[in-house]
Amino acid sequence: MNFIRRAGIYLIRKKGRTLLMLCLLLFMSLFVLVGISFLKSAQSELDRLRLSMASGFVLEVNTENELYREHISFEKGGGASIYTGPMISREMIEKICSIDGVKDYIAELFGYCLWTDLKLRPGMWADTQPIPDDPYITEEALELARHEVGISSCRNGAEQKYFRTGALTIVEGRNIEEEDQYKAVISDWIAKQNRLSVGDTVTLETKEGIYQFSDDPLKTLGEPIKVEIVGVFHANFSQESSPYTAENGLIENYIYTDMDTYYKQRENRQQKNGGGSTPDEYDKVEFLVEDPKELDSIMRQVESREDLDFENMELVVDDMDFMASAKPYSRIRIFAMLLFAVGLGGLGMILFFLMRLWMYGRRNEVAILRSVGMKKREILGQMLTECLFVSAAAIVTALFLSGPVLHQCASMAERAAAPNPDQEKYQVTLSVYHTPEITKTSSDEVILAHTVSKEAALFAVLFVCGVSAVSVILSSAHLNGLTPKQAASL
Amino acid sequence: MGEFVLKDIVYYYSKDRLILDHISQTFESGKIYVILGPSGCGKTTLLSLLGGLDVPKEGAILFCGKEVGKKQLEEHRRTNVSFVFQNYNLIDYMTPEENVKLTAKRDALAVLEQLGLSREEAKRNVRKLSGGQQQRVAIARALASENPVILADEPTGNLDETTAMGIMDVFWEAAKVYGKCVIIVTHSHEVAKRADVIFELKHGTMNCIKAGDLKAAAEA
Repeated sequence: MNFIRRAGIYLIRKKGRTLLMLCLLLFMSLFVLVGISFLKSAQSELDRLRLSMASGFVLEVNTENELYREHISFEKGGGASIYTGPMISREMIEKICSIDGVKDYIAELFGYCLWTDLKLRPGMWADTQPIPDDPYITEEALELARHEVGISSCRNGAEQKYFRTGALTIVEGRNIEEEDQYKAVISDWIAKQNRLSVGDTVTLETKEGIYQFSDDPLKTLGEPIKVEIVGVFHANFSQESSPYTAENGLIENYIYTDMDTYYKQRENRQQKNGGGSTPDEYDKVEFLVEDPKELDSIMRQVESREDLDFENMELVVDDMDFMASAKPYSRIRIFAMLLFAVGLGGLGMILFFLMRLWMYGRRNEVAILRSVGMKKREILGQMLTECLFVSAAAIVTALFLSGPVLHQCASMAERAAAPNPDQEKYQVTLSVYHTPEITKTSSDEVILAHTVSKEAALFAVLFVCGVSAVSVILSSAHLNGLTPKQAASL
Repeated sequence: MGEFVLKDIVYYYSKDRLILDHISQTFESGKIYVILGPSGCGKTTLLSLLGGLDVPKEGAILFCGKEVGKKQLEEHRRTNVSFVFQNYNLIDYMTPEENVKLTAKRDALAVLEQLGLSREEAKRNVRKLSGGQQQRVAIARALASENPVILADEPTGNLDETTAMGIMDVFWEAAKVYGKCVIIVTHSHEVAKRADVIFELKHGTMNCIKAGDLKAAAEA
């Protein structure tokens, strides 16, 4: 009689043990299947988030450093503090981009303003009245302030951080692209209030009063810039206005443009020899990498470049938004690994001790088989076959049940990890330049896989069969190592 | 079958506890050998050595001229010898037929029938059989293997006299009809009376005694 037949007879005759082992292995299989599915699903989402959100580092100038700030006085009184220290040059950008693994850069030029005759979302200047004898709060100055839009110019709008993180989404048309010239993306608020849509033209003017104190703040410098609307964006958060939020600090009043628009307004400003940065210099540049996993090593390479001077600059990983989005998935990963550990480790230990107990009870059987000349490997083969038969039955049953079980577990996990619906997904603050800084504070809706993948099924088969086989081998090792006489005398 | 030879066998559990002291003996097919001795004299130990369940400390066991060394024990148990134990040593979750099939080179049911078990009894769980029936199953397993030597350790120890005699009839047939070499370890003189050769194991040595001496020893 071969060992496979003996294994079958044992399983059929020892129904209680077989059922107990089947239940144990079934739970183990389910734990492993759910654990692996969650792990894979969470990891996949983390990788996707990392690619879209934490895929780069930022080189930023500390423009607040007092060592590099100068005070300038205006002709008519008053003054301002301006930064005069090192900036990030195009040459620096090119050198960093030449490093292996650096994919692209985003040098966003924002914080400058232009004037438009469009109706804007009211800010702090909307209800402000001119103050007699105050040269700064005149009717003209207020008229200027009420129509100032914040401008952000870039090479590739889709790579701009707020679009990548989902804070802003294009709802009509498209984003700014590298080849664009005098194109604009406006907010849906402005579009609706001014009955504008893709294809329409908006005029932006460089006004003297934007850059310095002027007797004629509404005086246009240079030529008006006509930009064609190519897209409309929607802000997926609400920014409350406050007594200190100017019109140009509200995201709805922001206009995204291409680099030619920036160069044109710079040209306009330079006619008056106003302030601003020297050509092709930036105070903040974001660099994107090809493989987010290589981020640390790439940053170290950048820092070690001797031909780069990072005076008054900081190189940091830009992953705040990623961390906020990743939190629930990180928790799910931990939960999945716990399921895995309990399934394989905890239940595996129970299985091992049960096997040891049963093996001790089978010592007589082993002694009999050894005494009739059965080889050790045949006896071990019988026990492994018993275990693998039950493992196979457990795994098949688990796979059959995995659909509904995983669906329930995934739904529960998604509900538990879902962000607080009352909590704003994005937090908006004003920078020192009174520009909106949008930070992601919570995750999007958590999405997990609700079906078992082939990979997960294969892993479960390997792990469950592996753990149960190891339990059998370890628990029978002592018994099989004895002589038949020793085994019989136990 | 070739000769089954014990050559200068020594066995001990510790240096100051000698169990078998230079025992040499040849066993032939077609005969029933009985080894008598008081409890603890080493009868079972000797049988274990003969059956390849253990190895002697000194000396050699030869079967058909070849030494049964440590590496040959499994093969020896599989092809040369078969055991019948006092407590039957049947696998309790199997039927008689399945127990016999563990080693059978012949039709298991036919062998069981020969030993007085019906088909119905052969397919029942062994725990539902009587002691005598279980012992017959053990003998059937030994016979069905067609191994030339049957080693029996107190085969009638748990049986009543009538059943014991029935079992001895089976052993007699195995030796005389099937040509097996049957070696029985017992302390029962009644069983010993059916033997061709009787040994007495005492103080580590094994001596051949005659049937008349056996009766005198019994009366003493």
